[in-house]
Amino acid sequence: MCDKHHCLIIPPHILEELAKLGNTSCKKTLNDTHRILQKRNGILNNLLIREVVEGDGDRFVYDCQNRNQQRVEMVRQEGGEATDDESVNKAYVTSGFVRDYFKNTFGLNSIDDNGLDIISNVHYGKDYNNAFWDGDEMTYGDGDGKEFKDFASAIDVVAHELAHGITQFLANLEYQSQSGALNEHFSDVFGTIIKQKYLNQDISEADWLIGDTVVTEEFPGVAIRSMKAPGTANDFDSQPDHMDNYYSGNADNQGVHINSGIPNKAFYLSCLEIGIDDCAMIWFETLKALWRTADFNDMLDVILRVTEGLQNEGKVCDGALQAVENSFSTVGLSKVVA
Amino acid sequence: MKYEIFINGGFANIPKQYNGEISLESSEKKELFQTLKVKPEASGEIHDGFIYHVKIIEEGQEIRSVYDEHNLPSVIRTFIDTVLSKGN
Repeated sequence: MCDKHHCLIIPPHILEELAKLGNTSCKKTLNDTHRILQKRNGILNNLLIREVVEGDGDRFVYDCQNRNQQRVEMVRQEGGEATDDESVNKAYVTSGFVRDYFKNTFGLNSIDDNGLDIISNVHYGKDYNNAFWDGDEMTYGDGDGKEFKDFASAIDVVAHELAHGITQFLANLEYQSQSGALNEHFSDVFGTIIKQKYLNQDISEADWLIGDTVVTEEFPGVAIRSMKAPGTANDFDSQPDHMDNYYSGNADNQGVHINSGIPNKAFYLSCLEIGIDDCAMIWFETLKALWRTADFNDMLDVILRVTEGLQNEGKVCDGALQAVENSFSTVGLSKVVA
Repeated sequence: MKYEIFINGGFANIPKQYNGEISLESSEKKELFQTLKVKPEASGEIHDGFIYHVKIIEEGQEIRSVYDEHNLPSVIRTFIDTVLSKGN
């Protein structure tokens, strides 16, 4: 048995091995340790220790006024009236939808399950073609109007970025190589699920695209990524859909946005077999059980264990385990039999 | 002065490369060199952020640095904006 205080004196590599064996308290400690170290540095700098108080996940939207600076002017907060700025209103509404999805589906109280404020920055930079999560808040550019347009207005982009926050607090997957690709994968998974919920689509109606509404007509492609057919969303899309085509270069933090195509395809195939709601539960519980350095094989081990447990408890349909196993096998990830 | 700017990462992960030559006032050039020599501070957990690789070559001297969204100095951002605005 391993409690938090006990775990603090155990080296991280031992915590990791215990986490792999399914020890959730060790996994949590491993995740927390890294985050605590980061926070501690900040606290020491400020010589200030504040008590953490549970919040309500209130939304705050800031207008960056096209400067490369966050939180320039707060323009809408929880309960506030709509403004004349559609980017502000969209960021407010969509971030609320994402927050409510996680609350109503999994009982998660905001990003950190402790009611963390949800902060969105819109109109970041000039012609800025990007959106990012920086460890505390989300930031969206307007796009240059040539290839991309307003990132804050897209439900899947907002859900993707907010899911990075959730992953940070649940599994803290390291943002490089396979753990980083898993980090991107979970953001694409929940971006896709929440997009379908937002649009009231079922899986037969869905396009399984990520970022289709932020690309212009001039952009050489239909979206940024495709869960259904990784590597086909645009002329630059190099995502593989099978381990045979795994990217092993150094670009993109060793391919975090590239190799995520492999588990993304497995997710899509699983949804076709057992539906998106069962998959949502399986993927969320798997995320909770993963740890900072988890790789694709760890993901497979954990997701099969999680699925089997949920199936035995009757929380997902019969046949879920076989469907998930088959889906991962199709993309070249199979359980190693000892 | 020659430059090479490579921007990768980001939500869309579409790399952009800009190579060329640019003339700067000597004071601007000096400031740019001095800024590039300073090691960037480590940033936090940025996900989907751009990664900026900047290299300049002047009179046989080559200097380069890598930044992310949080530690990109305003001098370097201005330089990148200048290059982009010239359509290089």
